[in-house]
Amino acid sequence: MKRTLIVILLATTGVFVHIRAQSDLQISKAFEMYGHQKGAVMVELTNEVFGNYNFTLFKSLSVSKNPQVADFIRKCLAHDESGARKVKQVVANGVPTSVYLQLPKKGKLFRLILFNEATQADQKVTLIYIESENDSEDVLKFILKRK
Amino acid sequence: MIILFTKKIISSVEADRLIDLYYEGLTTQDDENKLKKFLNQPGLSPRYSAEQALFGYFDRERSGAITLSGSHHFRVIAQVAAGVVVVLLSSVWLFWPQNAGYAWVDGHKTEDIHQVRQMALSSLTEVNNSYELVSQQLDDVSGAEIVQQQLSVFAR
Repeated sequence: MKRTLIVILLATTGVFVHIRAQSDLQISKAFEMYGHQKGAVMVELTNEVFGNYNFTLFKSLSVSKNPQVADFIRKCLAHDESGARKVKQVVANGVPTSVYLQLPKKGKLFRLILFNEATQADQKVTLIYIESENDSEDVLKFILKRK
Repeated sequence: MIILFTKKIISSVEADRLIDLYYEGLTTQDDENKLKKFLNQPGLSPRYSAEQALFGYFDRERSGAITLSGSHHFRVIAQVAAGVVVVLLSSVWLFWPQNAGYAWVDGHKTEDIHQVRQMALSSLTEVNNSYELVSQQLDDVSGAEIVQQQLSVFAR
């Protein structure tokens, strides 16, 4: 009886464990590896409202003057774009420098990955992962309006 | 006329006979019930005190078992209830929407929500910078400029 109770408790808790919808993505490694380094800025916000859109999860990584980061992120994106819709891609000198991916929904969450590598000045690499219950088309419109 | 049905208590002779059979292990349940009823009556001769003590012991054991079973059930119910409470509290803690934010800058953590929001908005602007490249390229292939360039060749 005691054993059954423990098993039920563990199973129920396991079901309710909050597994991030990004944990299945390769880009999560980029945040882990480079987020705490010098020269990097990593931001994580939950349940934040930007414009009129509620971002369940907003995670960004900005790294300056580190081409390795951009290469690593590109490899991650090559894996994560499987099954995703490529909304935008800019290629410079044969290398994608800007990619917007609309990922398959996870439950009721729309997911987006935005990547940009500035080709001049400080060569800043920016990676953003967004989860939102708002339609990702609307979220993209909001983002594209920002200049 | 009211007829009262009373269970007859056996005589002491019958009781002695059943006691002998009891010690030989030959009594039926019915015999033992009759014997118990006989031994439970008040004012019984002291020569039956040993048998009274014996049957009293077995009665106590039986009621003790029932008590143990009852407390065991209570423990199980209490454990299940405690487990349910733990699961509910965990769910609330995990799923309650929390507005939280932090940022790591050059390896240092900040939880100033205003700074964190600013950095988030800044990154949205940065990731959007390629839009200007697209606009520039669209301008480059603008038909009007190409036509003008080609006409200028003939103007020389």
